[in-house]
Amino acid sequence: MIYLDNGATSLPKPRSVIDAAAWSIGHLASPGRGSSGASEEAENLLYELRIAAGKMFSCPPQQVVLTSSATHGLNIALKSLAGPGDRVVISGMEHNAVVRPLFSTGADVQVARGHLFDSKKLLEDFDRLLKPGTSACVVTHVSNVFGWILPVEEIAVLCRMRGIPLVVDASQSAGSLEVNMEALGAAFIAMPGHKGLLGPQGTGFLLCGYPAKTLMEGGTGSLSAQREMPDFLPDRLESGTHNVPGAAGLLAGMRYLRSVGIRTVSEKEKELCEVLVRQLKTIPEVEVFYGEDQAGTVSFRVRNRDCVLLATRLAEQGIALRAGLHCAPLAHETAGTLETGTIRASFGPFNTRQDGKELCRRLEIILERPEFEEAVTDCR
Amino acid sequence: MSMYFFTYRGATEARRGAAALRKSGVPARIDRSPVQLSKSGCGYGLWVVPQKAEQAAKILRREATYERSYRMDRGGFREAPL
Repeated sequence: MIYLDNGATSLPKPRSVIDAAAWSIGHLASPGRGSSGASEEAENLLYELRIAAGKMFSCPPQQVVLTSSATHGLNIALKSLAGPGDRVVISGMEHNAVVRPLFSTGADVQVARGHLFDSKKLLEDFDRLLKPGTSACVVTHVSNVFGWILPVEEIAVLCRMRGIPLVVDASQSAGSLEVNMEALGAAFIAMPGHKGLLGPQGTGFLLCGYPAKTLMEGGTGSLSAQREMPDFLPDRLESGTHNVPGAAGLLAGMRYLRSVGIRTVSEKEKELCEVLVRQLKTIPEVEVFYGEDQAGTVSFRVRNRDCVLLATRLAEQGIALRAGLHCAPLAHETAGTLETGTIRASFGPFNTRQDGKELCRRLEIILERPEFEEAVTDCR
Repeated sequence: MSMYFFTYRGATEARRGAAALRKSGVPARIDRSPVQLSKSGCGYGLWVVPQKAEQAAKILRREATYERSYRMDRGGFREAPL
C-alpha cells in the first residue's frame, strides 16, 4: 500500500512507538492512583511526556493537558471562551472540530474567509473582523484539505494587540512545522498525538494559557474529598483514567521526531508536495490546488469525475488517499469545491518521491477508462 | 455491468446492513458514498449486484433501513426505488 493519508493519521508508526505502547499495556498501572511501582512508573511517564511537549512547543509542562484528540482539546478551549451570542472570529479553513462545537454553543461566528492561499487577503479579513468585544479568534495553522499554511503569527499579533484570546488548531502542523506557544501568546493550542507527532490514536495535547472550563468531571487522584474539580492544571482538565499506552507511544513518537528533526520532516514533506503538484499539473483533466505557503498536503479534483469513486479506484490499486469534504465543508466552501469535494494526498515522514509518481501513473491509467465502465464487482 | 448502491448516513448502520445481507447469503460491499449521492456531505453505502437487489432491499428494510437505492450503469447513477 502506498499511504498518502497522513492527514487522517500517520502511518506507519516508528517501531519504537509500537513497542512502547505494547510494553506499557503489559507493565504499567494507572497513574496517580495506587502506590505501586507500576503506578509510579505510569505517573513518571506522563510527566516525561509533559516535559517533552513543553520543550517541543515552548509551554510550561503543567500547562500541557493530555487529551484524547485535537477535537477533545478544541471542545475544551472553545467552550471555555464562547457562549450563546458571543462573537467568535474563525478562518474560512476551519475543520468541523471547530465549527461544530461553536455551533453547539450558539456563538455568533464570523468567518474571515480570505481567498485560498492568499494570506494577505486573509489578514485583511481578520483585521476587519477582530473588533472589540470579540470573545475568541480561532485559526487552523494548516488547512487539512489544502495544506495552506495560514499566517497564524500575524493573526496572533492582531489578537494580542486587541486583547482577544487566540485558539490555534495545530492538527496538521504539530510535528511538521514549528508550533510555539510562547511566541504566539495563544490562549489555547490543540493538537492530536496521532498525526505529525507519530503517536497512537486516542492521544493529544491541549496547551493551556488561559483559564479553562471543564468539559468532563470525575476522579483525578487529587483533592478527592472536594466535590469540585481541582482548580489547577493539568488535573482540572484530566479526569478519569489516562490512556497510558497511548501516552507511552506518543512519547516514543516525539522522541523519534526529535531525533530526525522537525525541520527535516517539514522540508521533506514540502518537497514531496511540490513534486506531486508538478506531476499532477501534467494530467489535463486534473485541477490541482496549490500555493506558496503549502505544507505536505495537496488537494486535487478531476473534471467530470466523482472524487470518491476515483479514490475508491485508487484504493483498489493500493493507493490510500482521502476524498470528499474531509470534515471541513467550510474550507471547501471558501475554495469553491463544496459541490465536488476533492481528493487529498497528505505526506508523512516515511513517504518517498516514488509514492507521488506512482499515484500519478495509476491515476492516468484509471482516467483512460470511462468512469462507470467498470462497476464495483467485488462484493464479498 | 451495473450495480445497486444502498445509501446510509453513518458507517455503523451501513455495517449492520452489510452484516445482515451477508448472513442471508447476499454479498455486499461497504463503501463511502460517491459525492453526487451525498446530499449532506459524506455518507456510506452498500454495493449489491442487480440480481440480488430486490432481496437485499427486503432484508435491509427489516434489519437496517437504508436511505435510498440507486442503480449505477454506464450512464451514471439514477435513483431506483425497490
